[in-house]
Amino acid sequence: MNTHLFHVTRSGAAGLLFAAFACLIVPLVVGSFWLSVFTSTACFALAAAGTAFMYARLGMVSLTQVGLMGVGGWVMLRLNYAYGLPFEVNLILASLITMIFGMILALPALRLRGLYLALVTLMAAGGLEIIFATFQFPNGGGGFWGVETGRTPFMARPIVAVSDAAYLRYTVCVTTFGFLLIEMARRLNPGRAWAMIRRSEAAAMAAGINVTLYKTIAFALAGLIGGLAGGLLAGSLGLLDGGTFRASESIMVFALTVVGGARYWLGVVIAAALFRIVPALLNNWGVDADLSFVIFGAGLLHAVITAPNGIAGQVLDVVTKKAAKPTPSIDPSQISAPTVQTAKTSDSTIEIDGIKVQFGGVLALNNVSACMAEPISGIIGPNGAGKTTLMNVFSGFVASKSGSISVDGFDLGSLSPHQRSEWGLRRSFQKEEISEDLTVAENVRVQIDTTRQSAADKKAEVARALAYVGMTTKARTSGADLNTFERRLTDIAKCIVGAPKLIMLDEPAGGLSIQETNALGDLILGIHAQTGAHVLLIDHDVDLIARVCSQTLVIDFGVPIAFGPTHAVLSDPKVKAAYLGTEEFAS
Amino acid sequence: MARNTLINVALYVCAMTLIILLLGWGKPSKVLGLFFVSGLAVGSLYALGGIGLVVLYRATGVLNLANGAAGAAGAMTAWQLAQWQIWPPIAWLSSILVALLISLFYGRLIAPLLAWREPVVKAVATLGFALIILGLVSFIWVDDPRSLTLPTDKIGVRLLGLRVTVTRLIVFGTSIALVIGIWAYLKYTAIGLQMRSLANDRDLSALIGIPILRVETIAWTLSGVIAGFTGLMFGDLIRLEPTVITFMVIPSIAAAICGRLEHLSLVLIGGLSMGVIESLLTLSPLLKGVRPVAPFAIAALVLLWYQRGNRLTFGGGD
Amino acid sequence: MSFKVIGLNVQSGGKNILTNISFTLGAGEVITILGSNGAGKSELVLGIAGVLKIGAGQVVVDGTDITAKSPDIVRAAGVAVVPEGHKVLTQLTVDENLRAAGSLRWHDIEANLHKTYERFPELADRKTQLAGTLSGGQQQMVALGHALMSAPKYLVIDEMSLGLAPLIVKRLFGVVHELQSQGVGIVIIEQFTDLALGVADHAVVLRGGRDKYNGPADILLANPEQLDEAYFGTGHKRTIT
Repeated sequence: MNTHLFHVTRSGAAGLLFAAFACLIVPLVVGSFWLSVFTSTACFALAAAGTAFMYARLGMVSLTQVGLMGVGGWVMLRLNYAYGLPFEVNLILASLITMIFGMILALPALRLRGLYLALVTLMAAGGLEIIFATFQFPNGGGGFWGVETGRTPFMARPIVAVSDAAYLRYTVCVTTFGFLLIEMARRLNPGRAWAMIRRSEAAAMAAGINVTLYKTIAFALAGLIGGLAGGLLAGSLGLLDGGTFRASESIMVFALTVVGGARYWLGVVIAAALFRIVPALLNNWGVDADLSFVIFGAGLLHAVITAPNGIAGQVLDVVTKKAAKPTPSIDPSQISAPTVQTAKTSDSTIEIDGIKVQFGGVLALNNVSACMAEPISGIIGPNGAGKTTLMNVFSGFVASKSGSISVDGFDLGSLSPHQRSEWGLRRSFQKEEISEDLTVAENVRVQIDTTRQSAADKKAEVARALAYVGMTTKARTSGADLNTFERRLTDIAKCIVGAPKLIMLDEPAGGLSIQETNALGDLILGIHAQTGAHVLLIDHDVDLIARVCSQTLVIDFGVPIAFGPTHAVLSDPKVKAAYLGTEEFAS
Repeated sequence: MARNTLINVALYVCAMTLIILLLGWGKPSKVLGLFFVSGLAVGSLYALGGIGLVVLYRATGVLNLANGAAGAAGAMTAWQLAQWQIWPPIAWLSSILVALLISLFYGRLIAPLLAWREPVVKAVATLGFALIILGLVSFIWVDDPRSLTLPTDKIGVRLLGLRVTVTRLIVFGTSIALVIGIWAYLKYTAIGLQMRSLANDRDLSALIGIPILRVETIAWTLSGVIAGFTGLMFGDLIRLEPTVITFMVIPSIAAAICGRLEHLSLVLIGGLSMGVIESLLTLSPLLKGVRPVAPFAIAALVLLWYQRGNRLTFGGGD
Repeated sequence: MSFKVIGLNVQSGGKNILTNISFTLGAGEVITILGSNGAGKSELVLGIAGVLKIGAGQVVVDGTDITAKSPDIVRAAGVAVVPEGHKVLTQLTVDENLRAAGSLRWHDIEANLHKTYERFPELADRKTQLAGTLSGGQQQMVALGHALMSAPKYLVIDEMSLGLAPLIVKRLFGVVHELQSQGVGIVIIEQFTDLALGVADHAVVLRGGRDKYNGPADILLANPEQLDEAYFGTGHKRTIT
């Protein structure tokens, strides 16, 4: 199912090889100037990895990373002079303190997205810059700030890595560790949660993801990495300067990460190399370092306009051909709901009671009530009638001015959106929300990540759900490579995995062919038998509704105009009038 | 909505009064006045930068991080022409012209390639452009201390017992005039209407026949002119150094944030307040070290205040 | 003098949403485009308007080729497209909305404004009201007003009656009829088939991005099974909308 946690991909192997090369070969062949430059490059690569994963995995632009490096460096230096603790202990402490610092800085940012998030992190970076400039870095003096003019600083290095060459090896090892840490997180719950958050925060909440928690984890990880990088830099340089951690430097690191390619380790390394090695080279060749700005700027423009995956992306496009043969598309006629012997009968009821929803001056839902006891119920109505709004009330995205929704007497209103998922609410949206960063199996797995089962049980659950919808052969396919029908099937699998109580499907047949819709209908019919859950179905396809739903609610202009057994509702003249327009119009 | 505004205004007045009282306690009023005036001048620069950013952002969706760089290029050009003994008014106008051309270049040639991308991506692209301009400017004018002076620096005026240089008056006056002028322009002229239309809904505006390209060009031009003027004044009042002027875009963003990237009057008030607070912090022996943090802290606080109570919105983002 | 769509392919997201659509509209004629959700009606409108990508084919107005031109050029050529959803410039007043739409015809703007207010007295009463605060029906009037300000020769209206009360729909169709009698060629996309077929001369029924019927509207009115067949197809995927 999932990529086994410690499975090494081709890209990963290349990365480890590169790290080995940097660790073993490079220190032997370069002089002390370049040793220092490469060590600095490794530190910034580590820091940039933090910026990169936030941008690539979560779509968040965070411009505080270099500032956090400064914090890590500051703590490292201070600890160095304060107590006689070993280097490693200081490094770990510095990372942890920076992590906490990063989380505090993140608190206000959790509610912001896009441009505003970038701007607020920029403001934080600016603030940090001023603080460093004012208070400077510790150099052995007394007091909290530890600064005393005229003192010669002395920075202790790790016992195993005192020489510059050895320290470069040490740094490369720690940097590699940092990269691996991020990759671990990506393969576990946080990675899947981040992929869903990036796709749609609403869909993530509907899948049971505590969006705030996982965003905080992201900031914490970035802070940890940044602190680690700063501590290493302190160890390399011995004394830090506020100028290294300016807000503009943070912006540069972000910009170069985009140029290099935020999705790939190679991209991050390229970014760090551009940041540190290119200016050093230009200096050596007597070229004005200002020209490096021009090169970076042009590179950034180019990357943004034509190469969104950066230099690494373009390199990888050339180097890797599509080696894996794509699996054949799912054939709808092959799908049949597995016959389940034990037809679980449902005696649970959904009670919609007097729901009123107002948007500005418009009453989107006006006193909607229905008592749904049948296993599969339909909701139909013309465009704009309020059907999706009703589902949004169920999901908890929209508040109802009055009234309530309960299942078996339990009021759903008492739960927050992602809690409702844990309770057993499932939803598929009009536009299927499948993350293209995850495989099919991972997409389904997200839904049960928060439950307390063992990993093996969860794997089995996912396999069962995929088998039900007929997507077993596609379990390892990336979300980006699926067609519409396959995406919809994955959606359905997400809905039935775990122990669902109420499954809501919003226009699942949209964009599907006749055969595909038939297969979908079969699957929906079997859901109740398979899981015991209620199904609420919105769709425009009357045949599907007639075939699948035993009772149907009709809404028009936010007002319920009919409710009852489906065949009766569909032949109701009021319903026909609402849809097709009646004789009173054609004049 | 009106209640919200009232709360915001009341909060602002209380906070400002408190800060001024706290920082100015026990100091002679003349000293307080001096720092206040100086703060207004710097704050006007922040506000001007912010106004240029907001006008362009509203009409095109681009937050132009290269504004400062364009201004830096303009200021350096003016300095250079003055060195060559060119008649000063030409030198000053050239500052505006250079910034204008740089803005227009980006707006007509590069921005259209990114027209349908998200605001963050557009802003990052302008960052690339800013680096290019900064690199070229720093390359042409090697790192040396320079200064820019205007004849108005030496002329002073007595206001309420304080001596204020005409340069500072010009900057302050321009910022106010610009806010009023742009407001009137947007409200009363046809092109202003088209700009407001674009800001409201770009796609619909195109559909109903508004000449998008023409309106955007005007917006880029206006923004470029403001950047040129601001860069020149910044070079005179604060420091003539390309990197510094380029990154003045950051406090300008802070001022723009105060205006929610929309209301120019709020940008003005925000910018002025930042300048004043930053300046008055010098009076406090305890806090004077962190005075440059002021714009950032204020912007961050304002942003959070505006976003309070916002649940996570769903369905698409910025 | 005609508005011709010839073998048009409209693309969205790299895929062909519409394939080989053709029709010809003369002055003062009405064509209705019908079809279920997802059949491609709105994409046809957006393709003509210059918003969606054209894969192949042509759009020709009175001899001028406007295929794949930008939206303001399409409107300048005399084809005014009114998209679905009664979209207005919400932060501008009614008067400002109309004046903004008059950008194409500065010299005639006062005359066109006057004519539009005459046609929609409800709007004249609300010149200074913010468009975002109008009712759905009033917003649809503003949307139609946008189109009228460019004094179009041809009007393409997407789902004008969506979400509106029957009385308002009747009023709006009355306006459409007036325009038709003044020589404006009109393309209406509607979900209410009876309504649309009642006013149209010619009908095109779309299904799955292709036209399944392209002929006189009265034939469809007289033969509902034929409408059914074109609309829903033999697979009987019957949709109500």
